[in-house]
Amino acid sequence: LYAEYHGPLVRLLTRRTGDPARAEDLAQEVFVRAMESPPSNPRPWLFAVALNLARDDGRRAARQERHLALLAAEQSGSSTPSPDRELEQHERAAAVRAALDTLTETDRSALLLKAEGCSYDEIASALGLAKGAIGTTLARARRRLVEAYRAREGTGDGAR
Amino acid sequence: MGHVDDGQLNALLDGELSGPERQTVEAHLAACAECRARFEEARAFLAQATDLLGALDGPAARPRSAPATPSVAAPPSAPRLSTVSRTGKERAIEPGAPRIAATHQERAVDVPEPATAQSKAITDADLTRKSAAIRPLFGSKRLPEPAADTPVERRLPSLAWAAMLVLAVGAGWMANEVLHSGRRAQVVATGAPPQQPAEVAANPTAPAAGTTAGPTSSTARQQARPTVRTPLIKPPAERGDKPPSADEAAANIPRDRPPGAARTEPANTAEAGALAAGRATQQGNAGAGAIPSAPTAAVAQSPAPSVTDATAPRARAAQPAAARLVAPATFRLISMDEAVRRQSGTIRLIDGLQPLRVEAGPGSLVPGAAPTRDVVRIVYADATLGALTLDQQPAEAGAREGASVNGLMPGDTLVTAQPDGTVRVRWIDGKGYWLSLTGRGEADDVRAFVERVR
Repeated sequence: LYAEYHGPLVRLLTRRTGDPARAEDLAQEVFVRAMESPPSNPRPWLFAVALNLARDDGRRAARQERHLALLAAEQSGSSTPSPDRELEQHERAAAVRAALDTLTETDRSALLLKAEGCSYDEIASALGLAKGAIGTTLARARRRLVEAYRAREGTGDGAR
Repeated sequence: MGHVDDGQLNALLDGELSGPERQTVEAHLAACAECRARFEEARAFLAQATDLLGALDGPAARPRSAPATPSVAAPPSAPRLSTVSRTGKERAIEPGAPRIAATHQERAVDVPEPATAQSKAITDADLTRKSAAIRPLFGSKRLPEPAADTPVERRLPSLAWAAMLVLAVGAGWMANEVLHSGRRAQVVATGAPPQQPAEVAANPTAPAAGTTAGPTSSTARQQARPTVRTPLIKPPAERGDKPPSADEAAANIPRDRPPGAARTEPANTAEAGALAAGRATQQGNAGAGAIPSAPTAAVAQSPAPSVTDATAPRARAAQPAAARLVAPATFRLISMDEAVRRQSGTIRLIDGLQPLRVEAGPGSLVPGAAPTRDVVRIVYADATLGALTLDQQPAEAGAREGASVNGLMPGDTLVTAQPDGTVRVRWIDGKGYWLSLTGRGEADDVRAFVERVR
């Protein structure tokens, strides 16, 4: 289980939280829970638990999260040979994260799960939705993410 | 039926519609310009959202969200393709109008663009439309697939890894020689063996550093194992504590691929890393692409000591072969990028039509195709003819120009009426690509589209 899902979970959680180290911690927590009560259908289960953990954790430490993400960005930025490009990528990632934060929890989760290759069935199972609603959810989530990002690009980062 | 809602459009894009549902939606799309426009819009949103999510991974993890098409390998191939297509030979044997041959040049150069466009930020609406049009048809499908490319920033850690291994091997041998020189001195003169580590460290590209170590070095290695090699044996043990990475590598999760590759073939990775040109890494990673059997491909390629431009095509050539091993018995959705890769870097499209979806499947499913090779299928919707299916197979690696392909000679155009009322036109193009276009309508109507394939 660990072998198969550790990478995807950490990626999902990194995208969700913006902090790779915390994503790793949360992924460990997910596996601990999985060992305590082995799920019958692990994939949606693991992703659902991960997203719940990320959400709870994010509520507790919303402020700290930004600080950590900033720190992480600075650390990795300083160690690379092309700081300009790095900076640009970090700025973009921050803009995407801000756009993602404007989405509802359901839309955001659906988007992240789809990005991990989950099927509509799995997304529906993880989020407790009807399968028929997933297409609409994703349509809305995709549109909102792009529009929020564009709006941000048009105002805050318009200079670029 | 009424108009198609956004949920259905997204489900179609995500490959989540069942057969009948899909047919209904596609039929409607073919007939309804309004919904087609919304479909295009939904596709653009999907592509952009996928791209944006990829940006969240940060620079270190970028390749994960990059297209499966090796972007490092694709750009070098573009000039080569264009060179080939400009020989003008295809003009003579192109079955269609000369126009096709002329525009082939542009297409051949254009097609790899998605790979490079993917890494750019979406800030420009035009760029967005353009790249979305030819690229991530099913962007979100692609995400879980491992990215085959390794941008510079990703290569650095793996180079560091490789360098560490080289150093460790060198140090191990050195220490071995120190420990064993006394013992061995009874039999052999101690002069020659101590040269081994220095040689390996200084010339890591030599086969001696690889799995094909010469007799001397393998002997040395065997002698070394019990004692001094301990630090070298330990890393695998440590990695053994983390089986996930090993399996992830096998499961094509790119994040851990560099360590995974090093684990499978430490010497080769060390070798590749020490080349420092980065191209070796590219070669290995291009091989370790989206296909589960990719590690094999990477291993098969890495022993090649000379890294030249020829590595990219070889990497690509290895992939269709690997893909066949896992090819399903039906067509499955793939991204346009993957389709381009399967087609060895260039793909035939119908000019002026937007692909509805891209699929791949065994040739055995398509009449006239080479049954043992994969077919890339692009499905279009035309307002008058309905669904148009364009199947294609790249030329065999060793195929001669002017030779028959799947029984067709250059210049032949085989038109057959199918039992289901569709018309199938088959031909091969100037570069030996076998093509088949199927549509519902008059033969001439279908043939008119053949002239728009480029």
